Amino acid sequence: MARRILLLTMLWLLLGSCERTSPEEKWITALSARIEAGYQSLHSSSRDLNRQVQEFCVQNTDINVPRQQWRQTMAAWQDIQWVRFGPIVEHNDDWKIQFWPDKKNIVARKVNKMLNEPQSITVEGVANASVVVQGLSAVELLLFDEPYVTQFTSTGTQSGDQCQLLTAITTTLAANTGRIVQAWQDAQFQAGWLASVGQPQDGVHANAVSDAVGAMLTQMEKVKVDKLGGPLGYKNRNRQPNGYFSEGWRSDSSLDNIKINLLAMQGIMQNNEAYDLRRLLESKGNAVIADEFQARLNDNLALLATIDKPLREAVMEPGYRQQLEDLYQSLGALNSLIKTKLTKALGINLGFNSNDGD
Amino acid sequence: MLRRDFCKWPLLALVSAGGVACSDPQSVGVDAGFRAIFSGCDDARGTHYIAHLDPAAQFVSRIAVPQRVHGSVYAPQQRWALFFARRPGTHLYVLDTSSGHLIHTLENAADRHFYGHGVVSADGHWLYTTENNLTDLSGVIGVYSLQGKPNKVAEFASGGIGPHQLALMPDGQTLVIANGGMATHPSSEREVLNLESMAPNLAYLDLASGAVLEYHEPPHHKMSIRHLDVALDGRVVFGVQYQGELTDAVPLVGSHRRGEDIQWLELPEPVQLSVKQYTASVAVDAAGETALVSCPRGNLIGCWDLDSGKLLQQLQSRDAAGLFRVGNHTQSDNQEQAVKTTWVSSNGVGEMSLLQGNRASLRSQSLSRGGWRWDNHLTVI
Repeated sequence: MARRILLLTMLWLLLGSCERTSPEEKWITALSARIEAGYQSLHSSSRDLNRQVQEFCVQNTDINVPRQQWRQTMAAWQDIQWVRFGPIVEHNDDWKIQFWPDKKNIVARKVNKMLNEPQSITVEGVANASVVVQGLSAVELLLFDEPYVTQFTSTGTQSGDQCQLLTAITTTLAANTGRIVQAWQDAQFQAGWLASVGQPQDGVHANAVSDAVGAMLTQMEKVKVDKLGGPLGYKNRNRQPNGYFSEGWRSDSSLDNIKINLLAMQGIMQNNEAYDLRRLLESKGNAVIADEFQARLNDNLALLATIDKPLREAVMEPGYRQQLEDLYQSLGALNSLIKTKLTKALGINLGFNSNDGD
Repeated sequence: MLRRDFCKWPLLALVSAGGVACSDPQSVGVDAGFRAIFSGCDDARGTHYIAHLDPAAQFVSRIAVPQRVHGSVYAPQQRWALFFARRPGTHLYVLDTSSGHLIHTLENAADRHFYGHGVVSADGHWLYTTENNLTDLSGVIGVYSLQGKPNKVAEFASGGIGPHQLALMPDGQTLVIANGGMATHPSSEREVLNLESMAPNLAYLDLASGAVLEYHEPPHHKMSIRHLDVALDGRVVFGVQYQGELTDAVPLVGSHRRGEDIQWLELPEPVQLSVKQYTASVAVDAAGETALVSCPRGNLIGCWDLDSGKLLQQLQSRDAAGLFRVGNHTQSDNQEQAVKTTWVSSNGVGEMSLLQGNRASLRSQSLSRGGWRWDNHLTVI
């Protein structure tokens, strides 16, 4: 940590002595701190989840306590889920935190397989197993899915194997998120990421601003196509809605997740305590794009607020169809804004062959 | 741009930190057993080019073209490099490598567009291209005469929808075609219109009659077979772009011999998740023992042993794109050469490299690095 502070200070001094810090550098510096805080929050929540799961298992406490902590941990993840660049993507760590979409119920299959194996469940076993069983999706299954919950409560004591697995998964999750925090703080990574701001934003060179804006677009496409379009049936052959294709159907957290994803975008654009994307746009005479972005975000948040049932149920009720379709269209408008006006205002070209589709 | 002009570029490179760096003229590629590389590329402004490079990956000629190209093929008799527009492009560009000039730009018929790939017949007289029939969105193989200015003389059905890459089998009389199965129409840009009713296949067609001799479907209808390469013994290796969920465990690389079932190659979970269900170029060695597949969304090139189906190695390459084997050395030619097949690789971040060494430990050696976004495929002669 001390090394990192020293290096960042040296970088700051170097940049300051050479020339005035560019608006892009200011934004990326502030964004990096924001991401680090997000990862810290995820790690801290994961550790608490691990502790509360152990209390639940050892002391037979109320299952609602670890459930509530799971919600907090998932909320922390949803806030930072958009960051699909940097160390988190290098070892599939993003998949280790959450495995979704899971239309084929692979999480349940793999969890059952682990529960049914004769050998005892260990942290090492989980850490070396498929990413499917290492994260929040598997914990959601164990804490919220009826047959598993019944298994916990039926004997009067917490089920041995399920508790061993729950403990091993949350221990792994705490370790994985801790590693992600450290990797993000790594001085060499930080220096390289900040320095990349000086590279052309042409899709050829690595560039932190392109990374960030590209990830914002990818995330919001995921929200539209997978998180909402999936349960609406837009990805199915028969176009029939299916509540079980929503992200958090077991815990009814799907709409909360979308809301947090939208608020994360809002936090990137506008953060009164740091140099935000709005200020970067203002520096380029494009404050109007920030206003438009906020207006589209507000449209989405307002539409989301009108849906007063869990998404799993709402998609199955014709009375909610229009609101959900309006939200789908509205998400499309936000994404279109990012893809066209925001990238143009910042002078960004996104990927070449990776976005080609041929 | 001629070679003599090219070395003006290092000065620009120093200024912009984004230009093209000239390699040493005695660079590794010169001795690597090939004469030229052909590839499409874009500059940072998004202008499209067709390019002819020397073995050191320096431009011999580079010509701006209106439509983005995808693949290319060399016609040795005419000394032409032919470049095909990617969908829904309608242009076929003919670069005369002797003069360095773009000598023909063919515009396809109003109800046809190219899919970005083509192949030249064994006798060098004919060109076969994958095309879309816009009247019914069926796949078409266009047959062009290469005697004089290329002109279409016939076409036949590709055996599916959305034919993409095709190759000539070693018998010289059969085409193998990756029918991707995806219906698209220029009116809806590149949107897939039949996602739920896709029917991709690997088809073998008799060149004399156009008849489908044999075809194989993948186990899932969203497994779009797109790119392929053929070893000298007729082994076909192909890459899949899966149109389903990122979390589905489906194979993405397969190998096939006529009359047999498809053999799917190992895809460990971490690789499956990192490549995001997307493969680009496929290159198999002449002996049919090793296959390389570029995966731009995972920023890697995978190397597989074809007999065991095992993934031998992953090489990092940001926005990995073109792959092409150099030469046709096989074990029967020379034991040493067989295990040390050389490949040329390119990527979307300006790198053109040689891949050499033992197949379990291939090493990437940079030929050139610059501001050109190399498109998905390249041709080496």
